Amino acid sequence: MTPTELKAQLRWLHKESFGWALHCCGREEPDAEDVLQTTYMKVLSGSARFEGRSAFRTWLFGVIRRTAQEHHRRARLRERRAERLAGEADAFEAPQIERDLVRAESSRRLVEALELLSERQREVLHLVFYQDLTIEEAAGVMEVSLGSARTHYERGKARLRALLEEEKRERPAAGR
Amino acid sequence: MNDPRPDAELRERFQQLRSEDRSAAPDFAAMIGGVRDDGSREGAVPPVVRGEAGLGRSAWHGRRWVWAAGSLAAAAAVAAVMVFNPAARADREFERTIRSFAAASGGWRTPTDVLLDIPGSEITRTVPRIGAPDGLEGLNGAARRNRS
Repeated sequence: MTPTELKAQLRWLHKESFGWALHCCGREEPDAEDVLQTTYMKVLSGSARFEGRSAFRTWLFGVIRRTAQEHHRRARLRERRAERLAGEADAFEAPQIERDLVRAESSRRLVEALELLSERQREVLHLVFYQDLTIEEAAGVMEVSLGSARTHYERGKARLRALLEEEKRERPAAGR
Repeated sequence: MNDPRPDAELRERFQQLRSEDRSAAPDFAAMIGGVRDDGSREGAVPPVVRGEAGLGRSAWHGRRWVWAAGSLAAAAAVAAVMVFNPAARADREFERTIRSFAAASGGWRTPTDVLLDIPGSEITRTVPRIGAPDGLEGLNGAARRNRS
C-alpha cells in the first residue's frame, strides 16, 4: 500500500479510529489524540506494516490498542512522578469534569456502567456495538480466540443490561 | 447462554455515544499535518534538543561534507607529522645503521655462544640417516665438538 493509499484509508476511518482510541484511553481525549497521532506516525513510517492478513480496519484498531497500552505504561510512570508534586492533581482533573458535564445524560450513564465491566467485556462491546465489527473481527483486534471473545461479549452484554436496568429503577426512586 | 433480548436498545445507546464522540474528533488534516510523509512527527522534539535529527535534509547533507573534509584534513596532518617528524627520522637512520652493521659482520657470534650448545641439542635439529654407521651421527658429531 502506498503512503497516499494509507493516508486515504486513515482519513476514511479517522472518526472511528478516534472513537476506539478514546475507548482505549479511558475516554481521555488528549490521550486519545496523542495515541492516534502516534499510530498514524507508526503506519506512515512503516514501523507498523499492514500485510493484508485481515481487514485494514481490524489491523489499524489492533495498532491503536497496542499504542494505547504503551501510552498507559508511560503515563503510569509519569503519574508516579507527578504524585510527588502535591496539589497539582486538581488541575489535571478539571477538564475531564467539564467534559462530563457537557456529555449527554444517557451516554454518561452508559460510560459509567461500562466502567464496571471487565476490560475485555468493555472492549468487545465497544467493538461490536460502537464500531459495528463482528465478534470475529473484534477477536482479531483484541488478539483473543473467537470463543473467548464470544464469552466476553455475552457476559458483558448481560452485565451491562443489568446495570442499566438497575440504574433505571433507582433513578425514579431517587427523584421522588 | 446467549441473551435472547434484542440488542436494539444497547446499540442505540452506543450509537448516541458514537455520534457525540464523532463531533469531538480532531480534524484529520490537522492531526496528519503533524506527521510528515516519512512518518516522523513535526515538533515532537523541541528544537533546542534536536541536534542533528532536527536538521533539514539539505542542511545535514552540507554538514556531512564538512565532517568528511575535516576528517581527511586531520588524517593528512597526522601522516605529515609521522613522515616529517625529526625524531622519527633519527630513529629510522639509527635502525638502518644497525641493520647494515649486522649485515657486514655476517656470521659473527659472541664468544659465549658455544655455552648455549648443550650435548644432545643436535638431535632436535637433525634427522638421523638410515644406513649411517650409527644413527646418531649428528649427536656424536656434537659430542666430538664439545670434547675438542
